[in-house]
This record gives sequence, structure tokens and C-alpha cells, in this order.
Amino acid sequence: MSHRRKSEFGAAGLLAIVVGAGLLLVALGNNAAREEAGGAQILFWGGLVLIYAPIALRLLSPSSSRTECLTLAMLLGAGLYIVKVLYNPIGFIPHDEMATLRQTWELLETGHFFSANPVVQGYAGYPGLEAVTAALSKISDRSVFVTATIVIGVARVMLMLALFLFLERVSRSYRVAAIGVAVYACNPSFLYFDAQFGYESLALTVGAALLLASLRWTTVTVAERRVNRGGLIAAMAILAATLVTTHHLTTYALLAFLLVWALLIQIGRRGWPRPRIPPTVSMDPSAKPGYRWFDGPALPALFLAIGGALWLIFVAGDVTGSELASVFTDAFSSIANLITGQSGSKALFAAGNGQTNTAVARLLGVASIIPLLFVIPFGLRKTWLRAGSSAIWRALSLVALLYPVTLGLRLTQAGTETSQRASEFVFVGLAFVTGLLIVKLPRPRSAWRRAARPAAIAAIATIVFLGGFIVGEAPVTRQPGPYLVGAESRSVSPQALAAARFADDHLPARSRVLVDRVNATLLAALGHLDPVIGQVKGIHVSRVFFSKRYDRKDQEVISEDAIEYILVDRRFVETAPDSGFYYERDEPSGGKPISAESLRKFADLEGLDRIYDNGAIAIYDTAALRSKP
Amino acid sequence: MNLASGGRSRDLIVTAAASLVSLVLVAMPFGGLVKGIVLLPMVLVLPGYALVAAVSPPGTLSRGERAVHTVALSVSAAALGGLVWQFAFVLSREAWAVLLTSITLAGCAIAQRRRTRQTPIREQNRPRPPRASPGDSRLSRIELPTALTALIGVAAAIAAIVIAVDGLQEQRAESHFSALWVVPPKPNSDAVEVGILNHQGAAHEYRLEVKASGREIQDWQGRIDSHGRKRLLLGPGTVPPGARVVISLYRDGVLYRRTEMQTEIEA
Repeated sequence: MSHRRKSEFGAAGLLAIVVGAGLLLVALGNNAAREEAGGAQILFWGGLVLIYAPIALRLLSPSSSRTECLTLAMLLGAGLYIVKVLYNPIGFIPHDEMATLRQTWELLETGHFFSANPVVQGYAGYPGLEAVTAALSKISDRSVFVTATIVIGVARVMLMLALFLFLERVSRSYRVAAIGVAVYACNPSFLYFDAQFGYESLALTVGAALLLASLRWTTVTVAERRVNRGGLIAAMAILAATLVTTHHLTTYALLAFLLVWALLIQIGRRGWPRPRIPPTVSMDPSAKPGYRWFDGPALPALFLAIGGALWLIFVAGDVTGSELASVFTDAFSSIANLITGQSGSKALFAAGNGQTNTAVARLLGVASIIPLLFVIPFGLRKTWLRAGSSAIWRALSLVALLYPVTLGLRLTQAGTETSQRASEFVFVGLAFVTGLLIVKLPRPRSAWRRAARPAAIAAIATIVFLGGFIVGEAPVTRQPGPYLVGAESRSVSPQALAAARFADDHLPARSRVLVDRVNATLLAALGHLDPVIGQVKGIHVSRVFFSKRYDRKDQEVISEDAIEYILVDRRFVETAPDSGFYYERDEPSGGKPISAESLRKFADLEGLDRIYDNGAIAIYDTAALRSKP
Repeated sequence: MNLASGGRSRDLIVTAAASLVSLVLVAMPFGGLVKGIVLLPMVLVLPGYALVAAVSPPGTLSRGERAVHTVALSVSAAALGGLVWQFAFVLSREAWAVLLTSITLAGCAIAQRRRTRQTPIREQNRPRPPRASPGDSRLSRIELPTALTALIGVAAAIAAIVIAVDGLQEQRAESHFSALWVVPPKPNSDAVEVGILNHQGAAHEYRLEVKASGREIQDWQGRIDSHGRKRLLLGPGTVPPGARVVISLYRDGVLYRRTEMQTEIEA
């Protein structure tokens, strides 16, 4: 009897069509949202479900082959990356992308790294992404947007591949890896934040490659270690150096993980703790004779620690401190205030100036958290209290244990950003323990249960995926739409783009300009001016916009801070900013619309030349005003 | 590893040759999409492949792992190579091309030397790569139906991008405005450039009135097409130094915009 051999790719080809159909729905949904037409949300969310759910089902199915799972992991990464591209397929608009674009422009213009970045200071000290993008842009003669889209797209697909291979090698099961990548895609940063043209998007891939190399170094056979010791060490050193020069947080997160893993290996070697916790298995080199500490993850950790320290001391200490210090200080102080009762918690599922989610979205958000919280104790039990576990299993389960902590951070506005930034790392642990638990579930006896189980789990995974996106992205920026005041991507209008292009064509590069947050990113990235924020002599520079009449303090800001241009967006008087602020977080707007009088004062101010006007936006030259006493 | 005559590895020869051909292509005076696509591996693949070959003997990495490290080490080549280079030189187009080609060739040379040296060792005591599964080491053959369906999926994704581009451009075209500006054409110039941008979605009649210190020095009237621009350059002879230049823009006969600037005072 002859029968056709089943394709190793299984349903991957068919699912490529399904992903394509999902992308079409997302594109149509976005277009409908731009026109405020009906069905925008149904098309968009339907598209997301169509991309994620069938792939998750196959990744969860025991009948899928390794080749099919590997292909689907990459297909999922690529499909969801294109969802981000569809948001704005002809240019960059998110804040961080604009900051990276400015940094890349500096490299292309000057031919040197480390130019100051007026949008996100930290980018100046981590040139990995702009180096690759600038190299590709110069060599292929394509725009930065095109080359960056390619670089991040390739990095995304490689991240999924690396994660699959890592989980597979750790668990010795491709099914754990397949389920793991399906879970990892549910992290709140996955769909948009880590798909943007930002240094973390590339660093995750470099970090995953270093993790794979560290795992190989730790678990390699004696024969290969003897033959290729130098090669393995060189690979880890190069990747560690690349990571250090690409992104601070990924470096620190990976360093922490490698240290925990190394520590658990040492604990395992000493047979501690006993008797409740069984010893780890021989996947760890600790069980082998002649093991030395640097034969394990401690060596790559040492590379990261030394590289990171040197980089901080000699290159990026200032910009890293200024970027991260405020994020973490604000997060910790807000949590401390919450605990001590000095402040209340923020309204959950509300972002910025009262923008909120629908009841269904809130329900999905909450429902997405529950299954993940549910698996953690079982994962800990499996990895810590059951025989057959290894040090890396235990380290990964500890990473998963951080998830509830990151949820706690979301109780405050300042902590939400830290929580968001941690999710891409925490979800590696969650991906592993979830995969491990699902694969180890006892096989159902009846056939229909065997068929129904993957479908049921895929349905839950889809809820986690959708809920993760809801948790991670503010309601107004999930889809494109009509112009909104102070709403990040939604505030990028043709008038703002025209003003930025005017600045690029006609104003001297790196001129100092006083401007709101959204226009600042456009002026910096496309207009190549230097937006000014913060304080001068203890006066908030945004005060110039809010004062009803131009006064001595405003003059002090203009003169002392050498402000050369002021950009006024007249649309601000129409409504309060969606994000809660127009210019900077501690501005005196109080979340209310700025008064027309405050903005009108510039029109008649002696010494201020209105050199550009497109109705919505005016740019003033302060040359004569600056020289006033 | 495929060995060519003389014990050289075919993959390294192909990598080195591709790198050199790319270098020549970069130097060619023509451009275009095809050239851009052909040059992508020069940055994203070739340096990483050569470096992976240099640090990993053949057979020690699975194809998947090799792919991940190829991309990651290509990033390393650009990031770390660029970092070192820019301390001494400027990172121009030629510099990037030479730098990445050098790294690729150096990687190939190291890999070749290691392979030549390790051949006897491998024959005696070949290290067995830790394989995650039997399917890890070989390429799966893609059958025609799978390839066809994947192609349809790619076509659908491209269609989605085209639809998204159309939607975005339509949305932007719906914002109707005209911009007016006045600036010196160059820093410290005595001349004045006045510009108009028509973003009204249709051609319009405009009139531009330029006054210097209250005296009319230019009156222009004309039609500007949709998305068209008009630039007027007023030379130093037309605009008196130290004058306040006020520009009034009339659209369809109605005063629409006003900009102003102070010209440089003659030294």
C-alpha cells in the first residue's frame, strides 16, 4: 500500500495565506479608522485574530512537525511585524523611531558616532542600530526608512528563530519551543514597541544570539570545547560587545539572567538546598568532572559586566544615567508613595488624559493576565520541586516569577513604563514555563478531547495575545485615525510634516527650537533642528507658551537658553492633550486646553518674526528678541 | 563544508567572491532598486557568515543557529567595525564598503586557516554537534503546493501594504492648507526667499504682495497646481538692508496668510 508522504511544512503554506488575509483585514481596518468609518475595529481585531490564532493552534498541536513549528514561529514574527508596518507604511512617526532617525541622520551627515540626540538622550551612547542602518542605507543607496524597515524585519524573524532554538535546546523539546514562541508573542511590547525602529528591537535579537551562544558554551561536549574553545569564546565576546554598544537595558537584563543561571549552577554543584529541592540534572556542566566557573554562563556574564562597565565609564555614562535614572526613580518613588498612602493608584486601563478602554477591552486585558498568573506557581513547582530540572530551568522560572511584580508596577503611571519595558524579558520565562507545563499535560483518553485541547488552549492564547496588546498600547494609538492633539502618533499631521520639511529646507541644522513634544520629534528627525526642553535658571521652558503675556521670565528663557525659533501649534487651543501634556510632563497646563490668548501673544510680539505659517502651525524667528536685554 | 580543489571551502570562496563583487558594485556609477537589493547581503549576511565560519568549525552549528549568528554577527561587524573606524576616519559610503568587505575577507581567511588545521583533528575525533532533533541538521524540501501557498501569502501581504499606503496618502491629501514662508536663501544673505506651498488638493489662484518698510516691492499673481510650490527670490537690490519685509498671501482674492522678517543690516 502506498500513501503520500506528509509535508514537513504541514499547514505552514496554507497559514501564510491566512496571515496574508489577516494583514489585508488590518490594512482595511486601519483605512476605515483613518476615515472614522464603521467596522474599523472589527476588521483590525479580526485581522489580528486571523494572524495569531491559527498559527497558535498549529504551534500547540502535538501533530505539528518541528519544521512546521519552526516555520510558523518565523511566520508569526514576520506577520505581526507587518501589522506594525501597516500603521504607517511610508515613514516613521512614533517618538522613539523619530529619535533613532535623527541619530542615524547624524551618523550619515557627520560620519561619526555619538552625536547628541535632542529627542532621547540615551540614543547617543548606543550606536549599534544606526550603524547597521546607516551602512545599509549608504551601500544600497536606499532611504533610511526602507533600510531600517528591512533591518528590523530581519531582526524580528531572527529573534523568533533564536527564541525557538533556545527554548528547544533548554527543554530538549521542539514542542515546548513552539508553544513558547506563541506565548512570547503575547508580550505587551511585541506588536508595536519592539517592532519599531528603536535600539531595543535590534538588541533583543543580538541578546538572543548571545543567549544561544552562552547555552552552547555551557552545554557543549568536551570534544567540541577542546576543538573550538577559542571560537566559542570569541563569538560570545563579539556578541557581548555588540549588545553593550546597542542597548543598555537588554545588556543589564541578560547580565542579570546569566548571573542567576551561573549562581544556580554553583548552588546545584554544592547540593544545596536540600532536602525539599531535588538536585539539578546533568544538562548542567556542573555535574561533569573538572568543571570550572568560567565553563558556564559566568563567562559571558563577565564579558557583559566588563563591557558594560567600560562602556558606561568611557562612553555612555551620562546619557544612560539621564535616560534611565528618571524612569526608575519615578517608578520606585511612585510605588513607594502608593504603598505609604501618599498617593493613590492610577485608574487601570486608563491612559493619559482620561482616554480609556471599552468594557470589552478591559475584560480582555484582565483575562489575558489570569492564565499567565495561573501557570507561574505550577512552573515553579515543576522546575524547583520536581526531579529532572536544571539550573537554567530554575533561572527561567524565576524570570517568570517577575511577571506579577511587573503587573504591580502598572498600578502607577510612572511604573507602567518600567513594567512595559520589562515585559519583553519577563515573557521569555513565561514562554518557557508555559510550554513546559502544556507539553507535560497528561494525554487525554478520548479522541475529541485530544483534538479539543489545542483548540481550547489556542483560544486562551489568543485572548492573552489580544489582552497583551490592549495592556501595552494606549487606545488612541492602536490604530491610525484622524488628528488628535498631544496623542503621539495620532498627532502627526500633514501640516506638521510640512513644517518639518520647511525647517529642513530653510533653517540651519541644529538650530535650537522651542516646540511641543510631537512637533519636536518631527523637527528633530525630519527638520534636523534641536528641540529644547527642561529648565533654564529654574524656569520651565514650556512657560513661554503658557504665559498670557510675554514677560521677563519668558525673555530669560529665550535669551539664556539661546532659543532661535519657536513653533506654535494653534490647534492646541481646541482641546486638551490626549497624553496629558503638550510640551513636557510637568508643564503648567494641568491637563486643560491652553488658552488662545497664550498662543496669540506671539503674533504681535515685537522682535519676533513669523517666518512660516500654514494655518495650523507657525514658526517664529527670535533673532531680534534674543538680543533684547 | 564543501571542499573545492586545493582544500579550499566552497562556501568561503563564494562568500569572499560575493563580497568582492559587491565592493565593485558599490563603486559602479549606476544605481537602482536591483543594485540596492543585490547589495543587501553585503551588510546583513556576508560579514556575519564569514565571522560565524571563523568562530565555528563546520558541523558544530545547526542551520537555524548559523542563520541567527550570521545576522547577529553582521550587526557586530557594522557596529563594532564602524565604532573602531570612526575614531580615525569618516564613515562614508566607500568606507562602509571597504570596512565590511575587509571584515568578510578576514573572516573567510581565518575560517579557511582553521578548517585546514582542524581537518586532521576532525577526522580523528570529530566533535558531534549537540542536535536538538533529527530534523535539525538537514534542509527540509519545500514542496510545490507549500511554495505556491507561501507565494500567495506574500502577495497578500504586499497587497495589504499597498492598501495601507493608499489609505494613508488619501488621508493626508484630505488636509487642505497653504503654507507661506519668508527666509534668507542662505545664512547671512541680503536676499529674501518667499515661498508658497499649495496643499489644497486642487489648483488655486494666489497673489503675493511683498512690502519692505511699508513700501511695496513685489506683487506676484499666478496659479499653483495641487501640491505645487512657488519660490520668489528677491535680490539685495530689491530688498533694502535693515528693512522689515512683510508678505501677504491672497488665495482666491482673500487675504490668507501673512509672514514677516527683518533683513540684515548692512555692515
